[in-house]
Amino acid sequence: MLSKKRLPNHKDGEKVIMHFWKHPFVFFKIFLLYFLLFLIPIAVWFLIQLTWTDLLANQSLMTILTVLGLIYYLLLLVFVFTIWTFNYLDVWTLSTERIVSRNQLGFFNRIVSELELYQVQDVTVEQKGVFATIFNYGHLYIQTAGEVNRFTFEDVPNPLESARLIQQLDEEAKRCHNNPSV
Amino acid sequence: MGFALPAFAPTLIVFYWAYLLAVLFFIIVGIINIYHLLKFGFFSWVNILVIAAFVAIASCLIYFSLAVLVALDWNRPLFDSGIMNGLFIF
Repeated sequence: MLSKKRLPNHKDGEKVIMHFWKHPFVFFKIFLLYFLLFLIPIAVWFLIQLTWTDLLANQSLMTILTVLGLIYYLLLLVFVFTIWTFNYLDVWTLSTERIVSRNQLGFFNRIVSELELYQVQDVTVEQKGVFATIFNYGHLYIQTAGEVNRFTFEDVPNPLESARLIQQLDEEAKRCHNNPSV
Repeated sequence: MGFALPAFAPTLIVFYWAYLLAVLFFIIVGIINIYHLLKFGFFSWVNILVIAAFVAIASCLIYFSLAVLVALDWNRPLFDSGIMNGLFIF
């Protein structure tokens, strides 16, 4: 496991300010969907009990339905865990000198990119939708002059405050970069 | 000259094999997920708790399902003419 205080290629004097994950409501939405999927076999079971009582007497069919139900729950659990892994491993880290973006695109498919704070040209916040407005989360776009033209922090909490913090650190980084003696 | 093919009557055991395949897939994907969380995740309570919760729930689910499946009769023929009895009422 990685330390929260260390970054890849850690520089002397560099301090981690904060890590950004997706807002908990984004996780809640995903789990709500899977919870509904969890209820479907239970609902079907009650439906069978109410409408096709003769069906319950058929041992062969009950065996098949039991196996299919168990396979369904096994796959559901592993898919929830996979979705959690992919979302939890999407992390954006802000330090006193740079921003590090870590995106988990799939199994064995990961992108880690970074940009120096003095390269930041523009920070844009996008809060789109009812829930994003109510729960205060949104996308943060960072326009840069580096190799990666645009960094996107997806569905991060408090995007406005985060943008302000990035701009403050960016100004300090530009000052230090232009006058290394400071 | 000729030979007779042995009579092959599939039983419900094919569903048991299908279940075991699903368990194998579940274990492999679960281990890959845990590997990613351990290698790339932060050392935090959230990460550790989620891994522990998954392992606990997965163990309970597999244990419970095997206990249920062991009690079933797998020697019934797969192509049972009465399998759809009661499903459709005309």
